Parts: sequence; structure tokens; C-alpha cells
Amino acid sequence: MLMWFTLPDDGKTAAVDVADLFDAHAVFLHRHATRLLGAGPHVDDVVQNTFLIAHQKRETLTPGPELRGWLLRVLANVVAHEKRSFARRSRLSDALASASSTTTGPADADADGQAVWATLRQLPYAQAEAMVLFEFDGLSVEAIAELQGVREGTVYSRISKGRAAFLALWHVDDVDAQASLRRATA
Amino acid sequence: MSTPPLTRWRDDDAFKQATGVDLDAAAHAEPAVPDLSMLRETTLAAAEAGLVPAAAATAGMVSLTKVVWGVLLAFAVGVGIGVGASAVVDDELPTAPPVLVQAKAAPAPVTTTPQAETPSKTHPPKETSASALAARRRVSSPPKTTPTPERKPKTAPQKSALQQQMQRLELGEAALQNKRAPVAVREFSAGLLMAPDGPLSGELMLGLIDARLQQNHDAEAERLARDALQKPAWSSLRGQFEQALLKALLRQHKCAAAEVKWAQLSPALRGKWQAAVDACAPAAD
Repeated sequence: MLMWFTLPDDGKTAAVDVADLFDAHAVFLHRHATRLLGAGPHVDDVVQNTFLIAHQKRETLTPGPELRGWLLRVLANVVAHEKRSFARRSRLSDALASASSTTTGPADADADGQAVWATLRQLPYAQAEAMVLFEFDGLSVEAIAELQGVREGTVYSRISKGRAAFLALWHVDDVDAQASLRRATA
Repeated sequence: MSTPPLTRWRDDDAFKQATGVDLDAAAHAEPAVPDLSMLRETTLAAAEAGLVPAAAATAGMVSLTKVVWGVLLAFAVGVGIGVGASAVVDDELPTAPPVLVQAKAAPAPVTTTPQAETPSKTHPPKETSASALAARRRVSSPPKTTPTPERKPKTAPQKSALQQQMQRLELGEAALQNKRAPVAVREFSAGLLMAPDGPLSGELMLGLIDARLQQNHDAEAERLARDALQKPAWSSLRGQFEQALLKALLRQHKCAAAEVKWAQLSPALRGKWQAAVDACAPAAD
């Protein structure tokens, strides 16, 4: 069920040290998982499981920057494996965030930001991931395609569908907003 | 052939004003990446110990032979450590200073806020689960004995209840994943009883409905889902409750009701249930 990811294969393989891998990519993966799943101990679990799988496959991996994309796909598989649980935990963290915000009374901007994340996390994982990489990491469509292991057209499609779904959840009925949306996704 | 470049929402002020979608605020609201040194340590320890994530295990990444050898090796090492430790303890028992024990058995602290655990002098068993360690870092464990009202911390009692609810939720979810529905029912119910209107009560109810479905108590699940849909405080989970209700109806072959419920779902969710509703036998309704 989990093994549909592809391994980088240049013909020459060398064992990858999981400690080096962790030092190079853990911060990125942790931030990425937190954005898509919501903060909480489950993010640690996801990241740890990702590196444990990498450790198991270390003999077949080739050191290099392309490993980040491979790790992202493993992380997506780990999330998919426990999708229901993570979806619930994500909502849980959002509920906790809103609960704490009502007691401490932070600025409205913070509440707006949390609302954006809560909406993003309701999207299908691949679409949310593409949107996060595009909007928050500032990556190009080409770079996202490389990371996600898909064609550029697929990335365009994911971002467009993700945006439409996002705005549907955001309840955008405004005509101007729709026009702006068409312009932005054109 | 070439696709026009996408405009980023963050760069489109008109879009931001028209929709209220403020990605800059979202970027500022996201939590900073915590210190990952503990996670690194536990991950490397788990890797060294040859631990396998559940996802990988189900994919057949570890052969049975390796598991058997691992268990035998762990047993042998455990016996070795046990024998060695007992020998050391036997040697050192007479010289163990009793003063330290008295110092540890000091009277209960009078501070009102829960304190972080001080590290023990002895080496605790190595914990390799990231969430368990994180939970230990973030949430102080509940008292083992039933506390009297006087002993309860006076500050932030709501937070304590929230933490206990969260713990119930975690336990219930774990039980659900392990197909132990009765345990899940117990945990979710206990969490709900703690604070029926708390911020986690909706999640707990959702878990309880899932557990009832896992037990094949579909009528009960249907009743719970219908009640939950009547509760305004849980309106943010409406889609989830509607899906659970639809599932319960379909499993009981209440096709006409399922069709009505399906029509109430958002268009995005309808596709997911289209086939199931279509396949529902009208004769069994």
C-alpha cells in the first residue's frame, strides 16, 4: 500500500546516513508537515516515520538534493496511511488554537492566519501541498513538479483545483472576488 | 503550448481585498519549527534499534525472519542487562545512601502551576516514540491517585480538563486504529463526560460515532450523528457528522434517507459517496 514511491536510481548507489539526512531535511519536512497537518506531536511521528523508512532504504538511495523530493513523497505516503487519524488531529489542533485564542485574545490578524491554515488543511493533500509549496515556499511550478514527482501540468491542475476548493470553503460569493480568482488562476 | 505563469495570491492585493484571504497573516501565524534535537535523538535510536514504522511494516518491508531474529536478540540482550544490573545492584546495595531517598520523598509542592518533571538520576528506559516524548514534554502526566478538590491546582483548571480530554481523544484514536472499538468507546465517552461542551467535545463525539460504526452498532451511530447535527456548537464539524450519518444509513440500507442526506452534502463530498448511494438497494429500504 505504501510502496508506490520511486527511488532515485542513477546506477551507482551508496548508503545514506540517516543522521546526515535528518540534519539536511528535518526542519523543512517538519515545517511542511506542520503546515499541512497542524502543529502537534503527530507531526513528530510523521517526520520520524519518514526518516525511519529512509533509514531502511538507505542502501538504495543516492545522496543528493533530489532526496528532498523523495522524502516529501514518503511523507505524503505516511500521511496517507493514517489519513483519517491525521485529519482529525489536524482539526483538533485547529480547535485548540481557536480555543486558546479566545482565552488569550490575540490580534485579529492571527485569527485570520489560522483560518487560512484551517481551510488549507481541508483540501486534498496533493492540492494543499502544491499550494503551500507555491504560495509559502515560493517555489516555481517546475520546482514543485520535480519535488512532487509529477508533470508541470499536473501541478497547474492541483493548484487551480486547490484554489477553487479553497475559495468554495472560504465562501467567496463576491463577483469581484470571482473575477480576481479567474485572473489569478488564468 | 507554454502555460502562462500563475500569479501568486500573496502578490495580488486586489484578490486579497476582495476575498479576505490573507496569506501574509497565515505566514506570520504559523508556529516556528521547534528544537528538533530530541526528535533527532529518538529517530536515530529507533533507526539503530531497527524499529519499523507501521506503514512500512504493512508494506512487507521487513521479513519475518528479521523480526524473529530481532526478538531473539532483544531477549538475549535484555537477559544480559538484567543479570548484569542485578549483580551491580547486589554489590552496591549496602553503600546506597539513604539520604537521597529522603530528599526525593519531600512534601508535596505547594506551587499551583504544574511543574515540568525533573530528570531522574537513574537512567529511564529509552523512549523512541516521538509523540510519547513530545507528550511528556508538553503535557504533564495526570496524578495517579484520585485528587481531592483541595489538592487540585488552583490556576487554569480548564486547561487541565482540556489536557485530560485530549489524552482521552488520543487513547480513543489509538484504540480505533487497533480495531479495539470497545476501548475506544470507553475513552471517547469518558472524554465527553469530562466536558460535554468543551472545545474537543465535537471531536470526541465524532470518534465515538466511528467506534460505534466499527462495532457495527449502526443504529446507535445514526442516533448519535443525528443528535450531533442538532448541536450548534459542533457546526464546524457538520460535514463530518453528515458523512458519518450517511455511512450509518447506507449500512442499514436506509436508502431513501441516505439519498436525502447525500443531497445535503457539499458538492465536493458528494462524489465520494455517489457510488455508495447509487448502489444502495431500494428494496431493502
